[in-house]
Amino acid sequence: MFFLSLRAENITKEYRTGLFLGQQRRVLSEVSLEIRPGETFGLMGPSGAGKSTLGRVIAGLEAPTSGKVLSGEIEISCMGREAYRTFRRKVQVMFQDPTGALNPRKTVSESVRDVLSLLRTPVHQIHSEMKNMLETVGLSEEQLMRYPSQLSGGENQRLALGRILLLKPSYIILDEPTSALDVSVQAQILHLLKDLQASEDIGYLFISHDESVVRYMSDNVGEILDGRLVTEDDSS
Amino acid sequence: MIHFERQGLLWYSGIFLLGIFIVMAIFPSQIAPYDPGERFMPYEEPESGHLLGTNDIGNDIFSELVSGARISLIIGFASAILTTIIGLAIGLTAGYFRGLADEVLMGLTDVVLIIPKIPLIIVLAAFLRPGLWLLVLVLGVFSWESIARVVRSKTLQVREMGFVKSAECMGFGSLHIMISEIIPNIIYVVTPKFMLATAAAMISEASLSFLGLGDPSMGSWGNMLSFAFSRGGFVRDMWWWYLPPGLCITLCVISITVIGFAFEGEDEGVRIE
Amino acid sequence: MNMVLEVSNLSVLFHGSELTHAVHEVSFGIEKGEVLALVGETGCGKSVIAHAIMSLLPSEAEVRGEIMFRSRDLLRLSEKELSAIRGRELAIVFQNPSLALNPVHTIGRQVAEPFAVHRIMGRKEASGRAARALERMGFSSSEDYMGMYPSQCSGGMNQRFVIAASTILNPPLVIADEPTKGLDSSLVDGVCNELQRLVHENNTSLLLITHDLAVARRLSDRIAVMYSGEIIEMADTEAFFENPLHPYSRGLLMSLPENGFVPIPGTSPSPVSPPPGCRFQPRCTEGNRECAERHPDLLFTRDHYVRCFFCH
Repeated sequence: MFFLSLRAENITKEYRTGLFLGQQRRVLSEVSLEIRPGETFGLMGPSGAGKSTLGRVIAGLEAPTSGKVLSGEIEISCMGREAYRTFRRKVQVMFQDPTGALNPRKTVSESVRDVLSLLRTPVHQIHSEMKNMLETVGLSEEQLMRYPSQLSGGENQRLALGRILLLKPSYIILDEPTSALDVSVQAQILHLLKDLQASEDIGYLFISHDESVVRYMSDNVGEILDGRLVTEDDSS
Repeated sequence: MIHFERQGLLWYSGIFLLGIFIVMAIFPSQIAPYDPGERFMPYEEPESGHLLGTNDIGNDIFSELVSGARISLIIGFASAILTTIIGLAIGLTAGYFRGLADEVLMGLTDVVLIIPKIPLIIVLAAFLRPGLWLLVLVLGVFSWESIARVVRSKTLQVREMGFVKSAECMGFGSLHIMISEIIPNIIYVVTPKFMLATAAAMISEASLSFLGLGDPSMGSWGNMLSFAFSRGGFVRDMWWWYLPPGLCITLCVISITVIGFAFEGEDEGVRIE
Repeated sequence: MNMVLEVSNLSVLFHGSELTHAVHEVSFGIEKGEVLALVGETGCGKSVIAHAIMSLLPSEAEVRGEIMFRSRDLLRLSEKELSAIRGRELAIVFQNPSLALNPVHTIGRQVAEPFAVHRIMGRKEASGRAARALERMGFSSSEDYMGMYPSQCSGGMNQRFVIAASTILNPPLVIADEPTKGLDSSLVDGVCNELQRLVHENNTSLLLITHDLAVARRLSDRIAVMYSGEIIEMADTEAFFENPLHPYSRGLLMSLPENGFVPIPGTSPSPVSPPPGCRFQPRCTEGNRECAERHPDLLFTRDHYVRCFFCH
């Protein structure tokens, strides 16, 4: 992948809370981290510590109160329309909760076709693209007509991942991807993620409250405590 | 896909009853023995030739009744469709974009809520040529507040779900997301409201026509009732003239409301793992 | 008669759009003061068993077999008799405490509620008991907590309140259905301690249903592993963890973080059409043709009950 590193510099995020939104709640304070292409940065920390917020900010889905998110050397808030469109496609998020990640009213086939039409895939290629994707993530064609509620947690997660892969992302922010899964299914998904990282050269920001999972998946690890990021280098 | 969870007496009776009226509306000439404009002897009592007798100018009441179904149902459903489309569009936009759009649209909704429909129609009828489509327009354009609110609140809920966030992240446009992702997940609250809007429109029309406002030449059940009372039907104890239209309105509205309740029974579905 | 609960050949089928075999011929017993962990992954049927015992299954469920609780068959009691038992003799703690607690009532009121429901004592006395229960749980300033609302307390605390409320009448048997699911590790500790205290102080029997093997190991005396609606292995907890016999059990332990996240290939069979023969066979690395053709029984070998031809 030609893509450059994805960096966060001094990200601070505050929310206004309270009855008349007069109070400030600081979720992140001066957080900086870098995700290198093809590598995994693991983010740990207790629930509600701000990990998900950081993930959304780095993905460009939320603006920080202060600080920058840089793709290569360019700040994403300063990007032109075309550049931002490319960024938007290259940085994807896999959301927590496999049951909410897919439209419950759409079949597997419909959910996948949506993405393929977004990519303007020619009609005659749609079927083969779909087939390849299903194979890559370990789903079968028989499941095409199923609804998410008829699939297991692991299958839903595979489908969510498969749809993301169609966009050929350079980075995926994974927000608690296996927290809701059974232990043996979790092992399968973690292996799938590792295989994909190697074959597609994707950088991961792996967010989880489960330390053992984070350590298994990551090249670099950091923990969010009280809104601040403590990396392994710091704590040694 | 709409799943009907509350199958049963309620649902089937509603469909059956409404079905009768719909058939009357689609095939009036097959069911009605005469053209409603044809004149016979006025004030006739029910007999073999005229099932419900004739009115003050000699029209066969039964034929009028059958033709009236089409008018009343068209007004009901057309207004409801208009109301629903407007309510859906406003609620979706307000709920999805939030912020300024939300403030403006909900403010607009509040204003419209205050406007009294019936007096407005009376005033408009005085200035413009009264007619079926004017009625549909007014009833449709001033009743969307309730749908808009409900759609907005459901949209606010659905837009936070993973698949909507995911679609935004993938770069789908807002319009696509609203139509393809959000609408299918909120439509189940809109369908019962659509049915109730139909019922409400039919009642509003019936009331207006009965009062002699609106368009007397439409030939709706409300018009029939109006003439029955004003042209001596009540005084002459001609129950076959004033009861049937009233009954039709009532039964039609009941059947529509019942179907609305049956739609309400559909929920997201709960499972035990 | 030391057996508090004895389940015999319990089968549960769901008559939905398709016939689902959720539980197949499950038998186990729990003695007084014993903790039995029922472990398995999503869809194995363990939660369905909990609901069957409490008679909380939906109408489309068909239940066969026997559930003897203190020498009465729960499946043959009337709703009235069951209501008298639930809460008083047989309590259940569900996962996700936020769903079990009413956000508009105080903690104190909800913990004291069972007294009112079973008409045992008045509100004041019940409050006193509730406060003492909270103190025993380790909340020193219990009066403060009595007046708080669930939204003011953390998930872990709420889960412990739910446990307090469910067990305040000292039922001889408590069923905990995934009590630690979704909780952070620090909160899991609190809940485990709570359950342990319950068992030790009151000699309560506990049926612990969980997918978390660490919690099962920590709390239980015996463990039963379920797969595709059946019990495939049952043994004393330590004996099980030291030497799991069934290939699925071994696979499950291998997929734990401490063993390197080694996955079990394939997926669980559909409950609508389970495979003939051994249900784990399609994913099993051992075994032979016999496994695919004949269905193994649960037999006793080397101190474990195992359902596997290969293990004997």
